[in-house]
Amino acid sequence: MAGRYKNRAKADQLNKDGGYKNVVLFHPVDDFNVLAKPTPSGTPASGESLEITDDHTFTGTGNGFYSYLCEQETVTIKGKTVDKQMEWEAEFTLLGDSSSTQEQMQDHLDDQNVWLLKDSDCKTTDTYVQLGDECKQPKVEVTFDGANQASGLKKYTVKLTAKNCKYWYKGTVTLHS
Amino acid sequence: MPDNIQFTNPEVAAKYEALTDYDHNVTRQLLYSGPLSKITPAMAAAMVKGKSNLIRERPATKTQAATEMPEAEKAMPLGGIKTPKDTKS
Repeated sequence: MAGRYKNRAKADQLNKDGGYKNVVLFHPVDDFNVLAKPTPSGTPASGESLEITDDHTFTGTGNGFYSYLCEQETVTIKGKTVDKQMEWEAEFTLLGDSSSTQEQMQDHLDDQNVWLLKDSDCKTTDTYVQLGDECKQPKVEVTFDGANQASGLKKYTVKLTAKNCKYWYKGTVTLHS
Repeated sequence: MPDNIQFTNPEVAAKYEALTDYDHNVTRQLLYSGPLSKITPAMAAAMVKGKSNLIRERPATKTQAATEMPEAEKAMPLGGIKTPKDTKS
């Protein structure tokens, strides 16, 4: 893949501010009308193999990406090498607890969803980070901390682990309503 | 069956038509965020380019095709140009 290397200067230091917006989006992988994928050209530019420019589409009234409002400054992504592939780990925290929240958290443990995260510098970046594709979706781990009356808030912390399925989504996001 | 939604921006309404009767919330970073019915021309163009299933360009009508007749056809005499083969009795 030598043809995809390019020089990297200060102008290429994009999206360098830490963190992601405190809203994460997701949708079950088997409920898309079209789950778009990268379509690199014959002589792809650097990065094209990971960019999705067509829209993810849905059918059905009000169907679209679900949205979770997270605790401020908790959404993050880390990556490491496992067996010569990148393994990405996203984490975010949801405040509060209820039967609906608990049920959704339990469902996530065994569901296959595609996730979108927005860079914290959302005024200048035109892409979402996407974890998951039609073949692979992140595994989910959930922890809960009920805190105590002296201090703290009840929190669900969700960890997504995705191997080799992180993309840059530039298409339209249709929201569930 | 409900009608498909109508775009409120006149420029969008003239060029595009919605393919859904539901006013979805749509967003594209740095471009637009809000209901489908109020999308801007730039957002409409981006959605069509992205192969969205919520919007398409309006098909050209017969009236439009007639008014946009190519100059060469406008200059053509009625009945076409007669060739020697046509004039054989």
